[in-house]
Amino acid sequence: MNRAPWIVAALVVLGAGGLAYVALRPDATRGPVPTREQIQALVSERDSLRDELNALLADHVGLDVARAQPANILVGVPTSFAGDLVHQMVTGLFSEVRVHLTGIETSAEGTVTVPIAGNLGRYSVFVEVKEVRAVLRPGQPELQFGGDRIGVRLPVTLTQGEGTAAIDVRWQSRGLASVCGDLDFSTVISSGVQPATHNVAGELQLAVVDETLVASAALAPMATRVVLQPTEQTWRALDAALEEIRRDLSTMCVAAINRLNTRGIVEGLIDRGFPVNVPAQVIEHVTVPARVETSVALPDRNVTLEARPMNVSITGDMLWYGVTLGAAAEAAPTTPSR
Amino acid sequence: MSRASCLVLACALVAPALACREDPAARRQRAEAQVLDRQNRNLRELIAATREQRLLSPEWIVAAVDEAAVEAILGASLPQQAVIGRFRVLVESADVSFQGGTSLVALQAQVSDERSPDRRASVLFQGGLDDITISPDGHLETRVLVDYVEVPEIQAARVDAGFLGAVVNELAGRSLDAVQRLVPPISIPVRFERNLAFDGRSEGRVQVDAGDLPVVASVARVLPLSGRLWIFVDATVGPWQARPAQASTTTASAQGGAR
Repeated sequence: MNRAPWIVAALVVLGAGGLAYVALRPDATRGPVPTREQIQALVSERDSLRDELNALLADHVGLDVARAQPANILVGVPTSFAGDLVHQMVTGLFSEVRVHLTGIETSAEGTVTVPIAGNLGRYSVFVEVKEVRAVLRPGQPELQFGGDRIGVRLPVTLTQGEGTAAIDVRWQSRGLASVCGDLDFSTVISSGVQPATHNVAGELQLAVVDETLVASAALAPMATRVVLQPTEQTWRALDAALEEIRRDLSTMCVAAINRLNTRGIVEGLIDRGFPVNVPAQVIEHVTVPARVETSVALPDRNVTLEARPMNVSITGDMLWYGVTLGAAAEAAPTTPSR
Repeated sequence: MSRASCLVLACALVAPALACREDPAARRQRAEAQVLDRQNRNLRELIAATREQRLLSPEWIVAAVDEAAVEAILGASLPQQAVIGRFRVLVESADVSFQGGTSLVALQAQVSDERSPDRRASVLFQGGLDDITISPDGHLETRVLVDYVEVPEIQAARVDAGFLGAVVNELAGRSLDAVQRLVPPISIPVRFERNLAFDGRSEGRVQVDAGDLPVVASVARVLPLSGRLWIFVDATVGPWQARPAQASTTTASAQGGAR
């Protein structure tokens, strides 16, 4: 018996069955083909949702769509972000300010006189700052936004100061005390620095520079004085050194030297302090870290956009800047990929 | 086996496979419905977020690009062409729409048959923009996603329906990925710095050491609205980081500003 027709017939039946199954099965992965009516319903739903969203957004204070500038590319920076940025930058920079004094001299001269005996001698006292280091510690800045300016007031404290100074005392005896001869006494003292707080004040002017928002600082330079503050232990050491000198002198000479208030003269010199000017340029500008670029990188070349920057504008709590583009993008010469 | 039997056998084997091939109109309707469904889900999420006052944070930085800007950027990278299957696809231009919470991109292309170059048709690849991310160098980046292909000439009842049907069948399937890859990634020309560096300076008795203010930024929300693509970026700065002393010594004479 020729079985071929039967095999063919069986395959036809199987094929038809398969065809019917595929055509009629509920498609678990793709689902039924949506009808035109169903698609239209989805379109209507989308339009309705869009209207609802637009209405809601019109009342949303967070998105200032209506008042945003008519630019092709815009960046909006909340004043709260700008404030935080300025705060971090100002306090960060001022926490890195170090004051270093070295080789500064100050001196005092005078005579010691007593009633009847008159002039006992002439003294010269020199204080030379060998090296003093101190740092500035910023406090909490006060920022005030007004138009395109940010007012800044920052308390900074001169602190953590320490150093050494050389003290040189020269004594030339006169009159009754001339028999005592001349004395020259030197010692080195270690010292702290008297903490002092000053205010750095000024303002930052907001402007668009190179397609980004830059706050240029106009702060007044801060003038301060570093005042040495020797410890009691240091003074006692100075007294002990003077006592050592007195031990070899006659009673009359000791009496004459005792008229010289060495500690008082040194205190008078160092209490004046040593001037330090903290330059205004500690902060020159603060740049917002979002920049509008005037070219875009393509895989094979950079394309320059004909962009015209717009001035900074302020709406509510947002600072806006951006660019308007020319009619077309202009291809720049091919450059290596970025 | 007779010739007739062989023919019947061939039909039996091929028939299920043919049945699996959905007709172009059905495929297009399915794709259209999927896109609409995705748009509606996105809109519902935006509405819910707005109602619950979590749509936007007043602390976020916003970058906005309008349709013209994105079209100019896309246009600068076009035309692009590639051979996909038996067709040469030339993507010529792009139209962009940012309205009502939805971003739409339409790529206009010419398709020709590699076997018979005279057979050609205009097609429209419809899609949108993918998620926007910030690249390692701080650029806002995205790419075009193609959802489905339209052949306007089919609607216009032009001739050569067989060719147009083949175009849709070939390009509407897995080849959409190949079309997507034809269009280079879009770099939105707004760049977020990762770090604000200060090089330090020295003047008189005062030295300011070098330091850095790190910036961390990520895209928090994207809102296509009123002809603009609003990209909200959650950015934080700080804390200030002092640079090692040696670095500050070498850069003490550099500019005093932080850029």
